[in-house]
Amino acid sequence: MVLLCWSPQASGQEINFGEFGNYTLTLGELNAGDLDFGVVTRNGGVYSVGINNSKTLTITGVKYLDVIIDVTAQNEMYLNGNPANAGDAAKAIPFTLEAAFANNEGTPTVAQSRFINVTGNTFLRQFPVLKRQNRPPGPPPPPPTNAFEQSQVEEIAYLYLYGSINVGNVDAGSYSSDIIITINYD
Amino acid sequence: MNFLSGWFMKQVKKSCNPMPLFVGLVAVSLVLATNINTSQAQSDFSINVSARVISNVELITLQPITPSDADAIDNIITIDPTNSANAGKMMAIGTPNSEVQITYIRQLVMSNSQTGNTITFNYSVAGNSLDDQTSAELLNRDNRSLQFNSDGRFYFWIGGHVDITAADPGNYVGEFTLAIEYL
Repeated sequence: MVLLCWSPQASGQEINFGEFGNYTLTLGELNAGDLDFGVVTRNGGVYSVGINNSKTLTITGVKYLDVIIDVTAQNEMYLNGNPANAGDAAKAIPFTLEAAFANNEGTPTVAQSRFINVTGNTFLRQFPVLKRQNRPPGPPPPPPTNAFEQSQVEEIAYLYLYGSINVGNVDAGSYSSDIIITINYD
Repeated sequence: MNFLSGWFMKQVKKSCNPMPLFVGLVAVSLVLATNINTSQAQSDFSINVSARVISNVELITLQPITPSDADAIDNIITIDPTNSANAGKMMAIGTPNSEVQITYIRQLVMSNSQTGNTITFNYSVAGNSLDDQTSAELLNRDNRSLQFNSDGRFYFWIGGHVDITAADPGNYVGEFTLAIEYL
């Protein structure tokens, strides 16, 4: 207590507003289906799905709060989706995940998206649901009350998942694996 | 309430008055106590990443040719591949958007397994990158510059005609052969 009181310079504090309210956070799909590389040919080499054809997820939450996105993808797709085929050069295809997000005002767009650095097919990224505007910050938002309606302060951010595969001398068939996404308010 | 506590703490820290500092510490306690019952919003999701690997070109028979009595006029059975529901149907799966050449046999001599009597079936084939028979085009025996669609598919409808004037009653079975090569 004394140290705090007489400290010549107060250190910065962080208040994680998202921890103190019954805010909801919803993850949805803008486009249905898999992140699909379609039909590829054995020994066909690298096939890519770009951001314009990405699997796009919607993040609906309170616009002035930050969200933390935790994404983990397998490093391979497995024949018949069977993880037991991991590491088998004839039954697994290397997969490299890429990602970006857009949180501009209005409908997010690819043109305004920001690249996410993905290492080892996993990343943890924090950003506000709505991009901070280029003006001084306003007063803190009113706390939620019984009359609080989240819909009045909601925005939607987009998360783009895409990437590439390298098809070698593998068995013909269907290949797949999972990408796990977890989102929280900061 | 929790939010108010957090905000109040920030105000307190800027003051050196011991009393507000004490109040601030109480507020911290409240935050910690009530956080236990606060469910933080969280959402989990899982999506698939997928691909279909083909060895070269796959040809899948979706429907065999099924002639009916209605197709026979003056003992000649005719199945138009561009509009007959009795036409056979095949689907080729290959590299999306790639160009291919297609060849197929024009005539097949089929034998009656009981009498040995033969008839000759004259094939005609229509193709389309869309799964739409009515807009399919008739293919010549040696077609170049056909193209798989963006999903790597190309569709065929197989028809033809056969003269059954001299045919014995019985079963006649034959196989249609179609070859696809990448250009």
